[in-house]
Amino acid sequence: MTNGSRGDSYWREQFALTAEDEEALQEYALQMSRPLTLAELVRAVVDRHSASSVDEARDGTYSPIGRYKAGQKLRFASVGNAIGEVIDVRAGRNPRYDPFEVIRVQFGEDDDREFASGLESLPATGRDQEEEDALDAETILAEYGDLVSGRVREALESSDAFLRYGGRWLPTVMMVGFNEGHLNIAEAMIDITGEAMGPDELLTEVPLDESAPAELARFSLNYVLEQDARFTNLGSESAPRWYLSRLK
Amino acid sequence: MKLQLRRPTLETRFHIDWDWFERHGIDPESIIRSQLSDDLRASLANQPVEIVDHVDPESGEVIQIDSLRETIMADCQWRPDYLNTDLPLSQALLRIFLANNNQPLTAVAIAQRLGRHDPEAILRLLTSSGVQSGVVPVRS
Repeated sequence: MTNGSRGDSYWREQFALTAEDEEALQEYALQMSRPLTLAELVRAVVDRHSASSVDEARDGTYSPIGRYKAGQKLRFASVGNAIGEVIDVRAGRNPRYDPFEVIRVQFGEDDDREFASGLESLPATGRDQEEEDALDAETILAEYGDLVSGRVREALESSDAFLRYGGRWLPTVMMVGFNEGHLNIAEAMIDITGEAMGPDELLTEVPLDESAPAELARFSLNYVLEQDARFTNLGSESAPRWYLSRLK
Repeated sequence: MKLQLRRPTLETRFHIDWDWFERHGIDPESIIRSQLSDDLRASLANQPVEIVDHVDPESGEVIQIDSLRETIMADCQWRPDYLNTDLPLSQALLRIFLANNNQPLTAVAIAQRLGRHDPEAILRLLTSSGVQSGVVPVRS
């Protein structure tokens, strides 16, 4: 693997949705201010992971390809994520890698170690002799889209941070609040007309406590109606028509 | 007080005792050169042995070692013929410790690196027929 990038084996064997990914997806949904499809979430995750290996060299996590100065504090994954301070930089000596630098890092009293920096590529090991190229987002989605989608969906389904309705996902924190009074109004609307109603019709009479984007209100109402046994959907998840279970 | 000798077990860790070579009049440098792949042995034949920075491929950590050992750690050991089934076991043992910068290993770990399932046989070799290529138990 070159430049710390992520190739086939990462996406095939190692990729998993992390807590940091979930937070990033929540922020993404907040930015977009609407529920997101799985494909949109997967794309965001793939973009994030393909960029993160490059970012590691910049965000304070030590990488042999990064360049550092005395006084910098770095996190070392190989030392149990310990933070060490660069206390010296010297020229490296090895024609195999020249030119490169060696940083002396202090982890504590009497614990100095030296690490390579400024390498053009990572040293070879038996595992990466069959060199892997970094995959761009389009290739990852084409080759491993189904695999990554499955892992993202499984992770979100087992998470309390996201809710799903109609093939879209919304962070729990973005749900528009509907209380018992709101649901009683919806029930009364259907009861009086005797007709199944879509969320937009119901929202014309349900007084929301907050001004929320229509897509968030629609998603949230559909979600809470589905959870409430009084209501039944005569339409589909993509085009719900809410009716009362007792009138069915 | 009676001196008790501890018999090495599968948990005993071994390493190369480089002094063993000197005591037996063997030049360690020639032994190390003979473990290099043919092309590397040829390319390093007329070059002086220097101290260089070896970079650990997993951690990026740097240690300073001579250029012959560094060549084995950074290059030879990843070649498919470095450890092969045609090698005499004593030579394979030497190569294992050259590849890991002489970090102590048990007979079990040595067997794993050789892809063998008989650590007892390796322990027997290491303990019953004299010192094998300077590989001895680590003194605790």
